[in-house]
Amino acid sequence: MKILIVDDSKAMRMIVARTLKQTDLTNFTVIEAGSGAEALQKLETESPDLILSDWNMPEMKGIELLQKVREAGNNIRFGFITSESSVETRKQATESGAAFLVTKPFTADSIQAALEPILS
Amino acid sequence: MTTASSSIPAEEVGSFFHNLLGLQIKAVDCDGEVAAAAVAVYNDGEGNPAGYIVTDVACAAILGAGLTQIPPGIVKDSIKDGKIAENLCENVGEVFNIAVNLLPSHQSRHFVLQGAEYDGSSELPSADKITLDQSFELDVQRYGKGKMRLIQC
Repeated sequence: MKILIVDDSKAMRMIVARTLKQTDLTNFTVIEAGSGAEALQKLETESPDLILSDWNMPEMKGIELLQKVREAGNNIRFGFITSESSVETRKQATESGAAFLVTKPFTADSIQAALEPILS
Repeated sequence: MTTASSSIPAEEVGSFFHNLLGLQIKAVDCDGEVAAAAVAVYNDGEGNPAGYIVTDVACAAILGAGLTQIPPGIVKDSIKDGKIAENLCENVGEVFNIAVNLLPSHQSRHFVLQGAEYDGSSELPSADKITLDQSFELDVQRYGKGKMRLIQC
């Protein structure tokens, strides 16, 4: 399985990748994008199976990325990893087709708990 | 300056940074002054400054280095130089971005990180506007101790 991590912070992409490795999940590879635009490119060229995206990014927010992905008819599994935690944000994420929203700071357990239902 | 009553438990602060850095962290309330080296300003939903996180050089360097597990030597260098190493500032900014969740009203008032300064020059709100003011000392495994102040208006 190929997981695309989208975050404008290189540090945070690294932390998400590191945390994924600390879960019990196996047989996955990680690719990264530093912006929504780059994520859309990688969606075309790399065909990931899952997108884990930040919410607040310059130029294209995570929610806009999700909306563009869905408008293109792509039903790839999509989750948010973000410092946003309001009820409104969760509602907007779900209504736009996200499978989950994990709040930063996260743990290997919280990432695993979010991913297991959609990967099983 | 700290308020007499604590509304953010030190354990919660320690747990928050433990989850963020993946390191053992002990946080305790502290009464001493926090020498401002890094200051994050959070605006509320109406664009008004409503929250601040202030750290001393050690705390900023520890959190910045710990975030991506940069060797602890850079913390000592930052303390010795009296300023946060430049290559830590992006990491510290990311810590500040996530640390909005420590401010009690962040959800109800839609706090967003407006910006951060790393030279301690940011102006803090006057005492009459402050509704919460707490300081903590963080002791981070392998990286050492630093001080942090959380302010809400």
